[in-house]
Amino acid sequence: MLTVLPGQAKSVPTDYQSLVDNRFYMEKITEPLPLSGSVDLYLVRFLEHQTESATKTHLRSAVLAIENYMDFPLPVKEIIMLFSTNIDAGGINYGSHFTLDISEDGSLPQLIKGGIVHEITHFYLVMDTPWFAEGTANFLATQVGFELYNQEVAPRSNRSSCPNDVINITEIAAAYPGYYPRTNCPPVLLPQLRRENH
Amino acid sequence: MGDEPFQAAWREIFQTGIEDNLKFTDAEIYQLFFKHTPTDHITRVNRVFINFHGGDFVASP
Repeated sequence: MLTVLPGQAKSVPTDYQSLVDNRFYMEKITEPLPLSGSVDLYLVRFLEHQTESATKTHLRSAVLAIENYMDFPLPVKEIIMLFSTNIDAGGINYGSHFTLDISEDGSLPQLIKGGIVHEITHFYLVMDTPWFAEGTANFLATQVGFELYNQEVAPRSNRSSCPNDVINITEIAAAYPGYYPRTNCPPVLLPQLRRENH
Repeated sequence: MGDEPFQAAWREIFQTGIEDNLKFTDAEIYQLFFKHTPTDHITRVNRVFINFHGGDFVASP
């Protein structure tokens, strides 16, 4: 947990204090993956939660599905997932760990299924621009959602950042002055690329 | 592009980027996707980039 403290200390002081005071619940799983070897998975919460086992099951399935789609090892040997109730975004990857916000979502299973894969994808840092980072994270969350559950999951950024009534960047620019699709509406390019030719 | 060419491009982007510790530019991402695009669909894939990214990289080196 020492690696988690720097990110939480700055962004969520109440979470930081709970970690310092040792007032948290934590589960650890060591998951053997075909390409990555053993990867340690940590779920950290500040409140008891009834769906703990479901989250853990999903996390184990998700890392395997991600590794399979990528076809090479995960870039990290441990994944620390912290459920917070006081963060601005739906989820944030700090490099050392990631957080997921459970304070507002009325559909926890959707958030868990979409948010976990989304945030894990951010560990694969190959480009600094938001459109690629968020676009690939949302794409992989959708892909794994279909593979594991045969249903579409909708990460929070996909629902809130992209206008649904326009279909290309020219229309977006005309309809929303000042809106910069490459940074704020990332998910559309990659799914369209894959669909082309179908 | 279709599922298989898309996944091939995806894997090359991430594997190369992670293994070689690279940070790609928009043009390089574009070129990697085009590398795996079937020849007879180049124009259509380029149209997707123009529509949803705003960049026309056909003439880029």
